[in-house]
Amino acid sequence: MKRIGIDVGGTNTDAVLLDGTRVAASIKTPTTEDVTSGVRNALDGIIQKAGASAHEATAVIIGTTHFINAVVERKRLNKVAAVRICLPASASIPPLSDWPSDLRALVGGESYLLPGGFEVDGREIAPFNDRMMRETAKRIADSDARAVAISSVFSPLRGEHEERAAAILQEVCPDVAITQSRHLGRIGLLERENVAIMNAALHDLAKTTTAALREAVAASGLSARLLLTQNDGTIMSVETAEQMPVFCFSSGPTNSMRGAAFLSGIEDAIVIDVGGTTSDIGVLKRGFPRVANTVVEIGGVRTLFRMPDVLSLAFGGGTRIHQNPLRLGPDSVAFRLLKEARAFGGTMLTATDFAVARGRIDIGDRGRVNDLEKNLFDWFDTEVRQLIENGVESVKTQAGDSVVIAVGGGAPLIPEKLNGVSELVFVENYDVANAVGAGIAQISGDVDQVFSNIGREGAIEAATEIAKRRALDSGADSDTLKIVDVEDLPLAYMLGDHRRVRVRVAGELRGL
Amino acid sequence: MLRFTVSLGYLERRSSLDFNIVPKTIDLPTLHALGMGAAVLSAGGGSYPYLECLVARDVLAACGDVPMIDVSTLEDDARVAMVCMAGAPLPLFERFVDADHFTRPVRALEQRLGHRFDAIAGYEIGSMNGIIPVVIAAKTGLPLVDVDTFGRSFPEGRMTSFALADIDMTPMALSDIRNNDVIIENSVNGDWTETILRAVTTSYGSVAAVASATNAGVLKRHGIAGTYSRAIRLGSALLHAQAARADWTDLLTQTEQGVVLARGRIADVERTTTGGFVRGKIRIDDAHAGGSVTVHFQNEYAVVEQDGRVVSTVPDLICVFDSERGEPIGTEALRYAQAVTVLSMPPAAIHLTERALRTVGPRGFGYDFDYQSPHKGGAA
Repeated sequence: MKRIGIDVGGTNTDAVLLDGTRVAASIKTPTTEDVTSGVRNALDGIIQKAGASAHEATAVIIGTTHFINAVVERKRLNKVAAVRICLPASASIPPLSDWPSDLRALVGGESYLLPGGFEVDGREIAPFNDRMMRETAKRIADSDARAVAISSVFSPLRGEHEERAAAILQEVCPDVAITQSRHLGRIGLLERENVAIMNAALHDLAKTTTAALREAVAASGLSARLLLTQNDGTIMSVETAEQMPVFCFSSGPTNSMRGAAFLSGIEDAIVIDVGGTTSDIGVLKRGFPRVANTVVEIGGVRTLFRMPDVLSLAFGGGTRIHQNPLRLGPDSVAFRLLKEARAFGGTMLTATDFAVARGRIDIGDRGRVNDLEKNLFDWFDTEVRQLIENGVESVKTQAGDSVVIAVGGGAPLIPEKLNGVSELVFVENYDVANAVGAGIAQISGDVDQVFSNIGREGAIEAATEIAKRRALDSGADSDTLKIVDVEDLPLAYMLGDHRRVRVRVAGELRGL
Repeated sequence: MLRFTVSLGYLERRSSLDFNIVPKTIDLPTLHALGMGAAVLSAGGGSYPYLECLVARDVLAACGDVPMIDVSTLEDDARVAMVCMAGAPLPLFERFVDADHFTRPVRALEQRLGHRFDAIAGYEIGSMNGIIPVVIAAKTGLPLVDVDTFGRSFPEGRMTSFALADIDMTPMALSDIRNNDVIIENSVNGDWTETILRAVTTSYGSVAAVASATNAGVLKRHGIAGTYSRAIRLGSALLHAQAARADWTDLLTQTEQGVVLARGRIADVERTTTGGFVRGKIRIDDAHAGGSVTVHFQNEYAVVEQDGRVVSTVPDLICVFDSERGEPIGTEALRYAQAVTVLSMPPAAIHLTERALRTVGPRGFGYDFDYQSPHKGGAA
């Protein structure tokens, strides 16, 4: 079975052809402004390298930072109408509160607050009002909003009111794209609504981008199915990605971590992905990145949804070494490394120059950096060691030494002996681990709900059933489904037995 | 006057407080410091009340800043409405605090008693309950009294300074978001008030706005004066240290007589739930002192042991901070490997009587030992 994995990063677009568990071919190409021509180049490159066997690939799986960049750069976003079903509750903080004003100006359309939503115990706050929703839908149809974000109070517990609002909108204004918050986020109305509004704001871009990616695959002559990787290290169909672009936000670090697990054969470890400007450190649990349970800020907006828990350190291959006084970064020459670093004839001393001088990386001209003094090396080693050791220690989830896998183009910069690390693993193809991670991605289902009065075991069992059903609905093969993550949290200050349970399962895509 | 920028939340990035001078008005920059201080005084029971501060921001903008008055400046017969939120914190992440809703029980009580109130005071300074009285004060246009009845967060109503003095809190008004109002006319004792309050709160969807009536004379004798000033001072000190990248522990040890009991990484977290309480403990391997420190919690932090020896207990204000950022960490957010600093600050003097210690000391929390503390007496 062959697959092509592609990771579109800020600097490079990497691609690999996977033949079963073997990396049959790999290529690095520059990322292009329009993304799709970069993907096209990467596909052409792989076909050229691998020859006819590339055409046996059944799937092209792409991870892209395109959508998160649009939010961060405030580009190509469309107007959104926000519908919140909550009254008489939750009117005190309107939608888009506390968004950076430039982003709000781009995205913000009208907001509509309507009766409904649920209590924490599952009762209705107020009945859903069909007539008012219909009137709202008519006003949205007459406005310039291209998309609608629907949220309702405690919709992760009970989603009926969001569902009914969506059905009415679908009927009254079929041309408007609809996002329901319950499909995206967790408990925390404002943060979940923020994610829904962001998702809706990316609607036009998602439509054109997925169309262009389809076109790029078609133009390459491959008859493979197109899939996209999502934040938790699993895949979704291109149709789902078009509806849920926010699920692509963190595919970079996630794919690197998944690739590291695959290339090393180790499922539980800490992964360091050393890029040009930063090093991302995360924890692999059963082959998947550990998910963050806290608010994650994206483009200045608070969000709470399925994102990997990643610690970013200001250290990468392009990190500058300042000599007077001695200081490690935090600035980086980034994508200008091949021009500005000393080993490449430039004037800037970078972290990469140390690795070149040591013979750890075979790039550039070693002769240009052989004047570095021993005490400078000693200082550099100590600085990097402390930074990495501290980072590794911060992400640990249990006591004792951990296995650490180093990937990314700058992996050789990691010192070999680290305190708190039982084994430092370097793998083949470390520099394209992210594309490998995209190529091997699986499909998942998850749940985050409060279960009441059925005990801990009962609650976890019920949650697991829901997660499995969601994975199967998304196209997973039932024989390969495995539980990736189980977490339960008892709720304080409430009478009776209430616990919030999160379960995630993943498996291979059916018929792939 | 110091000017600094803070990166906490997205609410108010600029603050211009001198952390040694507590303002007499709660305006936007003060609100931010108050939120931070209220998180510290929750002693692990909560975190920075982001959503409530957002609500308060808008109410202050619409209704004007809130004057804060010292309880000693009021005549004894001045009528004060005591307010709080009763229920579970989780629903407030979906059902935001609403100024009209939280003002309702105050109005219901005025109608029942046949007089208007002169001022608003909060039952509990900790976390979101520290902000709610500001919202109500702004909405009603009444001043906020610099006082509360916990001096911090405690898990039960029987631990308020009013309950410790056997002050009858009825009639007590309760409101939900749908305009269902209840007045508890009379109850046999404080335990019954709490039992009824909890039952009504559950029927409301686990969030109730609560108000009861008192006068300034009672507050002078049985309230904990200066808790809002203390929260604002604490919050300003932390924000100032964060902005200046200064050592925040220095500020807290100097201005609040804090004692650092541990500094290191969390080596173990244990958490269970019984009867609506999250109980558990963390172990910290102290990088500097070389020993092992255990912090026990029951929703709030309750006891600190250094190498098996009890060194600080409730009612001491025990707080766990993120060592680098100097932000208070709630018991629900504790996580393995976090770099933390454990700090103990003196309790309110009112908590150090024999009568009070039976309830808010370690035995009141079910521990089989007496109050231990690194402090000499109560907070200055």
